[in-house]
Amino acid sequence: MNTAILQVRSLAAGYGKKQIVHGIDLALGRGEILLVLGHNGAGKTTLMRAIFGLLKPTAGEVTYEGKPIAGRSPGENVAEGIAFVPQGHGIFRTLTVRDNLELGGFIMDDKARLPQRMQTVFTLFPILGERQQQIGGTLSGGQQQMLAIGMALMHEPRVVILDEPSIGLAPNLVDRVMQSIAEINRSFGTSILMVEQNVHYSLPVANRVAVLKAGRKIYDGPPEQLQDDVELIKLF
Amino acid sequence: MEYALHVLVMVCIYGILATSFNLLVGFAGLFAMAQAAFYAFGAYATAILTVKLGLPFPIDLLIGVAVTAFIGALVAIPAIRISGTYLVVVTLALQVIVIAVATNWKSLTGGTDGIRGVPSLHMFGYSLNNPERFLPAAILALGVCFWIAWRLTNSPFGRALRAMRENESAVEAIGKDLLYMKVAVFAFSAGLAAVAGSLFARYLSYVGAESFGIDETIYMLAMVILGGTGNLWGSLIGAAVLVVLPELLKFVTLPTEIADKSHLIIYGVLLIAILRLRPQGLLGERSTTRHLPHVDGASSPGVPMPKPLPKGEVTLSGRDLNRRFGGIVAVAGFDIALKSGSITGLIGPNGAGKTTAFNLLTGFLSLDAGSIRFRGRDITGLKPHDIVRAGVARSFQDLRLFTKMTALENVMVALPGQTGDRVLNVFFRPIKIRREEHDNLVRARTVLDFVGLTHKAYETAENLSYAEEKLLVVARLLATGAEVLLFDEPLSGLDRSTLAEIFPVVRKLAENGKTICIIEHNLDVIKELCDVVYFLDEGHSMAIGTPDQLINDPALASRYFK
Amino acid sequence: MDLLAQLFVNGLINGSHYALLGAGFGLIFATTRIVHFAYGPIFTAAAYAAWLAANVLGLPIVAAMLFAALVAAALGTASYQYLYLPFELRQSSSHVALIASLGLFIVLENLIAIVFGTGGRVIDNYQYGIFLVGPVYFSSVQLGQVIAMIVLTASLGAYLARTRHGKAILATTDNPEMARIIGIDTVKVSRLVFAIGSALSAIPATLILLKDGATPSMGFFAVFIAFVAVIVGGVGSLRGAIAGGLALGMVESLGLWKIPTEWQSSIAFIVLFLVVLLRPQGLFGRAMS
Repeated sequence: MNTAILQVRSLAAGYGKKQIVHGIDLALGRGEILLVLGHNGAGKTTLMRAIFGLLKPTAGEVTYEGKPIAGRSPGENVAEGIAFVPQGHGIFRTLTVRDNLELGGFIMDDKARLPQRMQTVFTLFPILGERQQQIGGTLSGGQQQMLAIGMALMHEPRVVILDEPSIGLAPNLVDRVMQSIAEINRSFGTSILMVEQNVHYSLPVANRVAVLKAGRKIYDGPPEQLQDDVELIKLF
Repeated sequence: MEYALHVLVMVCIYGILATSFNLLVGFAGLFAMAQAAFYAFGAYATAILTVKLGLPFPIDLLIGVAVTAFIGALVAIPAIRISGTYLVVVTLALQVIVIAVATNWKSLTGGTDGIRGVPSLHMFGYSLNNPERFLPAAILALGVCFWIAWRLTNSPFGRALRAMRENESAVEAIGKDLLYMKVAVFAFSAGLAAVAGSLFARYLSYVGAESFGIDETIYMLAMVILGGTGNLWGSLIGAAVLVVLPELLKFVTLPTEIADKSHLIIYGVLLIAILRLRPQGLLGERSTTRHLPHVDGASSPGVPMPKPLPKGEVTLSGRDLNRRFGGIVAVAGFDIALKSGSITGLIGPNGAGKTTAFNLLTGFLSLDAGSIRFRGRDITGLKPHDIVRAGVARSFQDLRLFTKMTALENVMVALPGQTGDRVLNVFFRPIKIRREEHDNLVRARTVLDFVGLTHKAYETAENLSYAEEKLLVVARLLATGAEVLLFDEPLSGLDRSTLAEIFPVVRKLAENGKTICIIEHNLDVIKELCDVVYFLDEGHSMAIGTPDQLINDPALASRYFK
Repeated sequence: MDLLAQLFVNGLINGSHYALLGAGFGLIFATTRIVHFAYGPIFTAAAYAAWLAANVLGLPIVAAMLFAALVAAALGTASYQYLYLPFELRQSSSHVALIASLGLFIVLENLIAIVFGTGGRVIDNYQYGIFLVGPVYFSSVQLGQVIAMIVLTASLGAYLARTRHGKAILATTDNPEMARIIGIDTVKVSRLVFAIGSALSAIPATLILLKDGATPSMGFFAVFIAFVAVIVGGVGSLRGAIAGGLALGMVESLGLWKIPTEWQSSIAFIVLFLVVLLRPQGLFGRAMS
């Protein structure tokens, strides 16, 4: 598919002997939100890390805008416009909100755009704007997650990969986060690849869904067919 | 000639030191930087007790060893709670104090002048006051110390020690007392170093602070690393090389000051070189199961097969379990009752508290409130190893196998009630231990047969395939003899065909009357194996029922994906 | 009472020295997690470099200090690049780096002894002033130690908080994986902290040269006390290293009031022991993973 901005083919990855992902094909369309579901241990996080470069794939290829990127370092991927929001509110707990956001734009050549990018993040998450000098570790879980997403947006990425952004958050915050993700996709056309456990709030914002089980993809299609939880749980 | 003999005496003394250090660093994996301090205690004890108090041999030696061993044990106690870096800095501080005391407490240690005139040893009427005469005594001492270390490391205690080096929490989970092991190995290591110290004092007739600084500890460490951690013969070779090598430098005429320093530079360079080029040392660690005789397939008649237990009885129950971490409630009012002969599943969304529940039930985490009973006996608040011995054991999501040990050793170390786990027994009840070892070997083979890993018994755990590793985790847990087996994601990451092979193993365990509880995220596994399932969310059980009941419940499914 | 005041001031002076050592060592340790024992001999090398510059080349003290800082930075960076980094790339366990560090320690310490001899080296004809404030006296060098600590730690703090590279260092210390995720080259950061941390030790090294002279074995105590200061103050906190160093200096000095001199270093041990048992994360630190 040449409209795919990120393409994964027959990707296999794991940790030493523990091969978790066995040959997965995935295509993230331009401007699309692709939701990846699956039980714990199904390989969702491993897949994301392998795509972004935190893990070297053992087989298969990843292309971004047609260019092969499998095995590249995270820094190289960030420079080209891919951002990663890891599981568990990945922020710098001892630094302020402002510092965290600045660091999100660390790789940018044109530092002059930083204030504008920051303002964009504050528009999206006003609470961060109100707490610019607050130390990251003292923010609530939800605020930390918003900060983590904000950090990823600082360098104007074309693709954002999110690993379980709703983990540990209360339902109303999950809704908030998902709406923000939908907003990012709408306003900036950012393509989103998102792993989630929380189906109720993520399914409505997804354009397409892939389901992983024991390291393989067992479903890839529109979200409508997975509206019934009892049907969905059978895929887990 | 006399000079060569002198070198040999020094090789013996350092052989003892390197062996003692290897026990700590190589076998137990405890990174302590105070070996020269223990060495100093032994030397000063002999010097002070003989010169100032006129005590005869072997009183000075025995007191020196006892005091040093005691101090070693004291150092071990905080080591139980603190990570590697803390141990390094605390033992380093001990080293510093010993140097300071040795240098400054003039009335006791003679300060920088040291203590002279330590009386020589006497044997058969001869005074051992030259290398030729002292050498036999030195060799004898080395032989005894080496034998002690050998017995210790080739015993069940030694096996548990090596396991502890690999993974402390896993060793607790198979019922070993960490504090006991650390105190024991520190005491032995320190005591043996003190023997070397006493020898040193008797040989040189002089003890001075300059011999016991940090350079000395690094020197001994270099011997251990060079020879190979975890290999006692390696320590001897390391000692021999590092004592003899600089002597070869004598052929190059250098002023004495520079000569000494050059020796030390060589040690440093060698140390770095070995780490880069051959980190396992000259002699790598050897597996002790090479000594064990190959047992044929049939079980020895001496070991009876365990009788199947009655089913349907409540074995492990947790009532009103509560635990929070700061502001986060992990488990709140959780009740669970596990029955013998049945496989219970624990499912729930992320953060529901499943692993926390396991940690609470097995003593790895303390309860804020609630109680745990096993067969009517209150086991709340017991330490993990006591709970395992009582009959409740757990496995870990991330395996935590003893990777450098063979599959057989992984199982053997988990066997309960080994007389050889206690160090005094190792030395005073060797025959009983040898008999038990044979029985243990047979029992271990039986367990491996049960899970289907017989053909890989002598394979190192790190060389097993992922599926085989998972089976070994089951085997190791089974070996503990615990009646209640708690498996944390035992089958994650396995493909369908491997799962189909492992299911019968788990079912057989239940058929034999064991109580099984499994945390799993792959619901196929839950459906296949579990008789009853607890749905956990927000720290307590939301529903209890059969897999079909729970999975087909729309409210629960909704909760699963909330 | 006068004695107490003097002890207090001495504690402040020594504490400042320890604080500065702790700051340098702590920066390296917190960011790279490497127990860099060779920090000691590099400190010693800096002292000797300053001696060379001041005594042999006749440079003014400040220039000698800068020269020493450059030498230390070069040695520190080289030790990371050629000793620790290869092990890191090989994913060796942390024990290996520690043992290698000990090897480097012993090599450097003895090289210095061979090159410069075991006798102490002092700056010839160095005159320093003595100040008397009330009942308390101190020398200009000792005053320099306190001033150096204040100036250097303040500068380091500002550098870390305000500059791009400084923030990259803080980020790597805080969360190394997150730092990689946002594109920070953690190897470059490691090189940088080794350079800065080592250079930082050159100032106290020069001051000790002025005060007591330089000996080849002076490095051991320096790295030991730096290590203890960091553990007591809390790993990963500059404030902690300062607090730890000052606390050690104070307790040590005030302890002299009642405890004879030969037990001085055991005071550090006791403080360390208590902290490790009762508050392992130190005064200001987060719990170490």
